[in-house]
Amino acid sequence: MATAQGDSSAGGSSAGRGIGRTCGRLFANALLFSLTASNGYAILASMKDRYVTREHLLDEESMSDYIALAQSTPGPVAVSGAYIIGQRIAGVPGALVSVLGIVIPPVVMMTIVYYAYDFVATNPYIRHMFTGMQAAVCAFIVSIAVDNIRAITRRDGRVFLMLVFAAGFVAIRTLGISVLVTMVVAAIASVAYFRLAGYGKKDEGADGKTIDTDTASAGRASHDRGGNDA
Amino acid sequence: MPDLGLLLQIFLSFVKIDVLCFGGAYAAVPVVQQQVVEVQGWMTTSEFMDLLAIDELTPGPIVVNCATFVGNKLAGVPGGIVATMGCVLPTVLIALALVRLYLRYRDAEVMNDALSGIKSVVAALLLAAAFTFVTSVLVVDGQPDLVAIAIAAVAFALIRTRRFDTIAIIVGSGVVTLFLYTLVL
Repeated sequence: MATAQGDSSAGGSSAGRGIGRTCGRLFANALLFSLTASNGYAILASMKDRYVTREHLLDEESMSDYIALAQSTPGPVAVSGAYIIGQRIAGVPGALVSVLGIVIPPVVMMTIVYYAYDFVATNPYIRHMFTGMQAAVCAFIVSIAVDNIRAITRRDGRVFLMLVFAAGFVAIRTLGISVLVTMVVAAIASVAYFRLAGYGKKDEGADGKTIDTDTASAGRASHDRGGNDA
Repeated sequence: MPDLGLLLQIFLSFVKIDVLCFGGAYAAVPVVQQQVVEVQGWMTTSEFMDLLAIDELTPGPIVVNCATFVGNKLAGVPGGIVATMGCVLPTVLIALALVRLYLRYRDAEVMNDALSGIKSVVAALLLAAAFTFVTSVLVVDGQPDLVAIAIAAVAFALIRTRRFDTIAIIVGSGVVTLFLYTLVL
């Protein structure tokens, strides 16, 4: 049973070889992952490949836990994953340089792109292009909305969750209740429901640890039937 | 150097946005849209959709790209940096806290259960955002924009086959629309 100090590498071996060099590598790797990955889950997969498979800095079981933890935080999994994995490898300095490495490339690129966009945004040809791109984005969001709703129908407790979905929609859209409040209420209601409905603890047979890092919405990995949500 | 009050406002807005971004890569979209367009009025829906299109073409998490874009729009490079710091800070702090607590995933059924509920809300948010975008893009000045509808429909069909890259569909839609407007219409 891994504990907070369970990894042999949690600050221990890296202290021997110099936190500075390790942090340098963490930073450089993070830059690379950020530039080459198509989404946050690909970044997590890259980290797993590098730090578990190739460098053996972390073991696979712990990595699965870290990825699951990363998916439990709000915000981009690339950021939380970078923080957690960096922290396990080289403490807080490692965590911070990993996050910096993940964040710097998109910030730099998007800054440049923003000013280019601002410069050409009124050009009629560019406008036509963006009209088309907006239509495609529209199609994407509809598709993702559909996928997310279908994912609910595949989860344990789907009837209850569909009710939460409907109630959430009404609450936010019609009643103007804040997103935060709606989420908090949904979270509490779900915890209560799953407790009362007797889903309880999973037995050893259930694979509670496999997170498919390729899906955009991992959901309750131990309760999801069917594969990809997206 | 832009107004510090504005920078603080940008920072806090993105802190608030980040905290709500639970449950998947695209969960950020409706949250950012609501804050940036509806609550703060910093962009129009159309500008926001331009941002989403650009975001699909550039690397990085959606929320970070949105922060950089909006921050720069409002307050130049300092704005972009401050916005990004805002959208990263809660994630980092919560990750820090979780690492301290170090709940084993298998034991964290409570987290799982809560997340299922939250993700149902996220689905509702995405549906609402879909409505907003559809009305913004496909209906212009009260009239249905037939070109946009056609492009969106084809794009949707291609997306559902799951055989094409996001970038290809987005750029392709842009190019086709440009072609239609300049050479055909």
